[in-house]
Amino acid sequence: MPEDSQSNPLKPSRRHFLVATGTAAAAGVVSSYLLAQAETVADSTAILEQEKVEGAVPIVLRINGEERKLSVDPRTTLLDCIRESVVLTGTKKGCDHGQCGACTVHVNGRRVVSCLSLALMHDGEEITTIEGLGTPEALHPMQAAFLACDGYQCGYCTSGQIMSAVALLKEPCGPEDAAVKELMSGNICRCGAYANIVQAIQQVRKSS
Amino acid sequence: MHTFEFTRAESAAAAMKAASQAKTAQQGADIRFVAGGTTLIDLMKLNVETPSRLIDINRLTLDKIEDTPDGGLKIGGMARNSDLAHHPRVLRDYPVLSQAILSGASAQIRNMATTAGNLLQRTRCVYFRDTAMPCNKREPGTGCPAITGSNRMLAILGTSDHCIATNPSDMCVAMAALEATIHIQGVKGERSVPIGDFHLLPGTTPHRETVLEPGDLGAGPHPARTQGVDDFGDGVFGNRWSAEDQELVSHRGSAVDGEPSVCRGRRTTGKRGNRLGCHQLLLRGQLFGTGHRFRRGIGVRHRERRRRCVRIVLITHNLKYSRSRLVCDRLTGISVPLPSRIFRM
Repeated sequence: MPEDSQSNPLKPSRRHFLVATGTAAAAGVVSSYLLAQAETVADSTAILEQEKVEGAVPIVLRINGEERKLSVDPRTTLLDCIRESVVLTGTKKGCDHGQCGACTVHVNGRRVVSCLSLALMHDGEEITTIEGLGTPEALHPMQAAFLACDGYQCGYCTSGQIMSAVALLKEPCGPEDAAVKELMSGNICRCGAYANIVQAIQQVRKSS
Repeated sequence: MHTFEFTRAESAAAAMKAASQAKTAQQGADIRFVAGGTTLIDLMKLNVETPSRLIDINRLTLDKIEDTPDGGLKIGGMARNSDLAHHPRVLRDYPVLSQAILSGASAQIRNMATTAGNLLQRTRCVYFRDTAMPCNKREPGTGCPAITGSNRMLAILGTSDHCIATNPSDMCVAMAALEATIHIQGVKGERSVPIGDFHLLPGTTPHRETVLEPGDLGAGPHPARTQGVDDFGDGVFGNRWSAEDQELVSHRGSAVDGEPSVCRGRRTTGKRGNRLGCHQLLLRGQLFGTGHRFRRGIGVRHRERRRRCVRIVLITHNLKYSRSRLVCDRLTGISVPLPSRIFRM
């Protein structure tokens, strides 16, 4: 994916991100970044709204309770819109074909894979991303449980895992681990942190 | 992805009128409806589907699941898979439908995907999805590399020399087992098609997968009533399974595409109080046309019974699993083509 990141601070590249976080960019820092980066995207939409793209269509998304007026190319997936236009980069792109779950967000309270949906299909709808779940000071119980249970290694799938896990709390799901595993089967973890992920989810379910 | 014009349909009539201008409703359609998008957008990213116009039908209220006066169930084409699978009436009377839906895809995709979209799922054949390869389904006349290539997930029955692709839907298996009728709304009015006639065999035209015509909308399935299993064992089809007689047989978890799933109906009452009568097994994948009945002296569990019928409606096959072959052999009394000889027959 071509990326002109040198000049645009609103579209940080992976390289810039790693430079910015410096030598401490180890798993712990990456994870806390994923869990609590809502602050990094402030005031981005105002500028992006001025960008004119040929054939772009205006839409309004309510993302994490905030109304965002956007102008998007019809081809833009909800995932790309969230990451590139709204610059909430906690939602990750894995396979881009709906198989890995890294891009899981909530639309009107239900979990979906944002890579298989067009942004235009969600005009006026309520989107919740990992940034909308908790804050660094007040983590969502599921975020806290993932930390406590060490439910990740590299952290790339973690935001999707947590979004799925939070949605799971409201879905019909049996009490046993196997039921949780089945309902989490749309989120793949290449590091294989599954055992701890299940533990984190069960911890939240038992305490709620 | 090729660019396209995006419009939102405000009414079913407007949607159908707009889509009726399309040249075809089959592979390569220039106008497509988009609802969940889980198949279409995936294929558009691969340039397998390149519509010039998308009509968003998500705002149309075609998602109702309601009882019909004759005791059946009417499922709106826009009902999301997860809503259908967890609907109280489905759980009570059509548990096999719920099980089949929940055995496919992931929770996220089931929240997005619609019932009609599930009926219209496209094959996972790797050659169909790869525009660098020939494929009779994607580009008629270019050939079928799957026949001699990577075909472990593809069909063993209902194939042709032109295509051995399978329909990947688990839901269709249950719908076929429940003898659903598909109600299609089109510009010329409404028509009803039994699910066995809704999908087409590949023959020489594998790019034509269903009976849908441009402008057709809201393919809402109505599973048959669940009462009256009495003469099931006599092989008179058109009878229903009661809820407790429904069973999904599968040896895989969800999110594994292409493995066989089997819906089984059984009659649980009989002289000896055991499982008697005919088993209707439906294997996932390639659809057979209506009325493909195998009237053979075979059954699954009760060989002593004189007359039994088995109808295979859908079939796919993981050629690695001898269990699947066994099931097919026992069901049909015909030898199912094995990888080594499938194309020598």
